[in-house]
Amino acid sequence: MKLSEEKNVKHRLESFLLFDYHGVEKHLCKMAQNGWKLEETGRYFWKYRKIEPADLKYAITYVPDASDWNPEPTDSQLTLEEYCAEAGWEKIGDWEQMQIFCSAADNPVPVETDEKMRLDVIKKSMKKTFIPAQISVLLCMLIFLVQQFALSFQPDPIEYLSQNHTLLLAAFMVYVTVANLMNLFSYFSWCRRSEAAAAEGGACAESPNYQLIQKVTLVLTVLFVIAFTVTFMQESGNGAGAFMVLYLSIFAAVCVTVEQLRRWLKRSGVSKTTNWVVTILAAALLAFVLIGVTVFVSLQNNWLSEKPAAVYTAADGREYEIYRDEIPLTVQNLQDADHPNYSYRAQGGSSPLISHYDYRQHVWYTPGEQKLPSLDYEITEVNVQALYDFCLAEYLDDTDSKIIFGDTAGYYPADAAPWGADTVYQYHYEGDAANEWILCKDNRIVRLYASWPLDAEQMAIAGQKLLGEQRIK
Amino acid sequence: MPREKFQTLTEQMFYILLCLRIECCGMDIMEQVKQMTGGRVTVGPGTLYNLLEQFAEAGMIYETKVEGRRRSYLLTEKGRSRLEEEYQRLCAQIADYQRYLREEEVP
Repeated sequence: MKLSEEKNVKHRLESFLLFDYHGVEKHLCKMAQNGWKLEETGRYFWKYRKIEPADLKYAITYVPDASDWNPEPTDSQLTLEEYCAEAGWEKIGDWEQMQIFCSAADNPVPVETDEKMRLDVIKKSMKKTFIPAQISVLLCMLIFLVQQFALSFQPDPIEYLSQNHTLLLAAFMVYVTVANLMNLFSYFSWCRRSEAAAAEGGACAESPNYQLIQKVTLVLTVLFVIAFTVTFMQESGNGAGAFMVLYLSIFAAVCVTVEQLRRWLKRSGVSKTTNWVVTILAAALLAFVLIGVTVFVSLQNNWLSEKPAAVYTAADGREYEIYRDEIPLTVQNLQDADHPNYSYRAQGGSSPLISHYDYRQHVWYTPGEQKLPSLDYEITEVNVQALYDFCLAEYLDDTDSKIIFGDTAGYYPADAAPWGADTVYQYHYEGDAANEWILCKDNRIVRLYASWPLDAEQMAIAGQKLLGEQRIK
Repeated sequence: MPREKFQTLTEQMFYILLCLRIECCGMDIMEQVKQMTGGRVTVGPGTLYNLLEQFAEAGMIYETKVEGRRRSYLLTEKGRSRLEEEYQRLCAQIADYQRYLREEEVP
């Protein structure tokens, strides 16, 4: 991917798999034919210089003890470089164990003339970097997915599935996991095919499609960051934009700082192990600071919470937030009650799988004042039919109630007719029916809690307002 | 195990060891093999480097001197006997060829 182009120099973000020497050789030959010769390799960006289009030959070989973390090229690298120079090959650069050579001769002696040995050396090299790196990323992704499942999905799966940014994040992590597994599978499959070919005196297997997978991953990563930022800003309060800008800026700064630190340590002649340990510790520390600063600043500025419409100070001196959101059912729809400090709050989100909103109308109670009626309800619209039973089971799950209130606590079927619903459940505990119902109609599930017992007329109004045709938002 | 690895020598292995019957610098081996075989066998620098490393590891050659990056090597007794074994194996192959194919061709 081309990222910058001056007159004579071009930097490209390259994304090869380390073992894919065929892919790198082919790519570099094509670049030379197009008038760009590789000048310098980097961890992410490779530098090319403009030349007259030429049929340059590129040869890649591997040195198992080479590493990007070494302060200097190893003896093995230098000796190999001299042998190659003797055969007319000029060293252009290296990337981890990969050593890149170039020759302008018409028919130079190949750098590798024993395919079985080439394969053995590649396998030895991949054990040092490629396989541990892939497995590390895989483990990180699995830890993240387990953490997402345990801390976000399991406590409230309906809310999780109704947030586009959480779904996007999970989908991306699954993709990265699958892409990593594919990288490992590609490598082992290539080894197997190459072993078979080398045993019959042939060359190591060709690898035509690995670059495509890497490019797709790169494009998907960029698209994911954009989509996640947009959906997160839409779903997470007015300051979410500022939060994302701060987070991504600090993240980019951490990445650049860590890479610069690694290079500086390398230039300073620090050993591979010391460089590795210091860089990893610095990355962990900076990541910790990144999360700390972002959370601190966002909390200070209330970036991820909605701004209330008003704040009122009660008789006891405490301050209470008041919201004026539009909600589908109000206490006033059901009875005469009004108060200037009523707060109307709507929170939730809508994804292609589920739309889920929480609504609340109440007045903060202060001792000595009359308690005013309140409503607390949530509406879930299941957009994918296959998820309906799962969502209903989540609503009806009374495990916690039974622990607190005993075995009889839970939801029991109730008369659906007054509500105009298909099915209704009412919550019972300690032998009494509570003012809490679950109403089901078509693809909609509503959980309603009223601070007073509803009569049939109120049930009809509530049913009409909460189970009506219009889509929730 | 290196011993198993070199039970049968490839042509490239054979000629590298043959070059090292006398002290020889690694870099000169590529040219020597080419000359010895009239260009029929070529040893690439990557392959040469790895083979020399592995021969040394297996105790078949040893480093005699280092001048800058120029390292010279010489065959050990073990390397010499391995080369001899390979020669015997090739002779046996030739003898078999002559015994079975040539004799059948004689009217």
